[in-house]
Amino acid sequence: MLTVEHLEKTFDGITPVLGGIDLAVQPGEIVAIVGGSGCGKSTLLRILTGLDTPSGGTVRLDGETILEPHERIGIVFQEPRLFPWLTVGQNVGFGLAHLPKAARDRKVRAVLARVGLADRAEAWPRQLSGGQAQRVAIARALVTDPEVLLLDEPFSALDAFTRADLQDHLLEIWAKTDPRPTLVIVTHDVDEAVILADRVVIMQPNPGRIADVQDIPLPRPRSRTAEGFDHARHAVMETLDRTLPRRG
Amino acid sequence: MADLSLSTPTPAPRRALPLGALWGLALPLGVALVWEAVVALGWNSGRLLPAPSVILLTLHDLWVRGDLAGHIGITLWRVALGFVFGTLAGTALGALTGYARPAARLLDPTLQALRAIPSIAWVPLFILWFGIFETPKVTLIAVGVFFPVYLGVMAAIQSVDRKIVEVGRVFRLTGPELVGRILLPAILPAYVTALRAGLGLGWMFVVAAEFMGASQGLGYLLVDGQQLGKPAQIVAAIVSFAVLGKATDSLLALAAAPFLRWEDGFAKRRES
Repeated sequence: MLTVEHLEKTFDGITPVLGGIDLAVQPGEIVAIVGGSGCGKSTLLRILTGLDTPSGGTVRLDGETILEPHERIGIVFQEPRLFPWLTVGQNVGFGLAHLPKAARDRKVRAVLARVGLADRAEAWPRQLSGGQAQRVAIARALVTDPEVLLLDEPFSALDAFTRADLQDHLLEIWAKTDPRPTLVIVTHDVDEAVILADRVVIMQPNPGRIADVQDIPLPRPRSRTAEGFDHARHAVMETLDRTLPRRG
Repeated sequence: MADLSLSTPTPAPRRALPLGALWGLALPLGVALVWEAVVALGWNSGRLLPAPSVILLTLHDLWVRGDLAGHIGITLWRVALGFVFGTLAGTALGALTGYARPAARLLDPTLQALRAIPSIAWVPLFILWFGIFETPKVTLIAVGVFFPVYLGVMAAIQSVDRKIVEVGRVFRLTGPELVGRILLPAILPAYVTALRAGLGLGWMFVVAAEFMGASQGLGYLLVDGQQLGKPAQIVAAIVSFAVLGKATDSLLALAAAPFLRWEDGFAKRRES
């Protein structure tokens, strides 16, 4: 279980960014974190990854304190961040340098097949579309079989069709993985949060804290046109609306 | 990097040397032909700048006597040694100052000041320190090669995308792994450019080096030509420098090309 206790973050010792976050994410659960700009959701995710250190409080994975990147935690960033000098297959196998080549190749092929890019192992990153590149980034994070996969606005740079396709694809991969990984997704897209998550964490700014946590009791697989989708979406929107700072 | 390959990507089909490369010969050949005609028609005596045929004859004579190969060989050897030493030092210090900010604060101002010193200014000092044989010459060339390589490596490492380096942190790379698996490959295109700039300066500095009491080498041919009033020999040496400089630069670019196939530059886009 991923637990966050009284998490605080202050930039430059004066600007509070996170003001006491408490959250527990069950194994195999999908949690979406939504909120307006500057509510600290990306900072929270970076601390969960171990890329940033908190000013106070702790992050634990099954009791183990996370202070730096951990092999059981994978991350997908907003941009694919592929290494342009490596082929798609080499990018995916980047975190498997310790394995013998044959074992590495086997795992890379398997995970590329899971993201639907089995035939692109030899391609260069520059030859991929935005959606394909982000799928390679997901494959690179999945290849080490992380128990927790953190995604920082992973589809926000993609067009609406590709985004919906990749959301479905991510759910498909999640459902087929045994045991199912824990997913924590930061997004500013409420539809995305509702289609993906078991629970939506709504954050509010100044300093960033949790305004509300809403369960999404929709059955899986979900459809954007299903009954109940609009209702769930509406509930999240309503809370979000209350947290947004108003001018005047 | 090789051990990380899933399998080697299929090489691009080898193209025949494009005819476009021959265009590069048009300008020097054109100028040579015009000058040949000018001298042949008697519009100029060709005493101070001999006709290309005379220069070719001089080159031929030097070659037949076996002198030219010896001069070229020793000059090439000096440039090669200076290039290796200059590159090693430039890469190491450039990587250090590019990677570690305190090292940059400590070393870079001094190195930039040293860079501003004209090459010839070193000559008397190097002769005092190292005598008149090979050591001062190779050292001077290495100094010339050092600065573009140092500057190129430092600037390239400092400008590596922070986001890509962060991926290395996510995969918990150690410092040396980060350098070997991310920083060095990321700077490779800039590194090749820096090496080519360094090699170019190596060829310039070899002349200064061979002015200090050489008895062999293309630089010696220049001095000898000047002292004995043989302009054809001077131009022959200059032409040799141009051909060798261009050839070694092309070799370097050619050797680097297979490692840079991933690049997505403007020129490459237009090729495909």
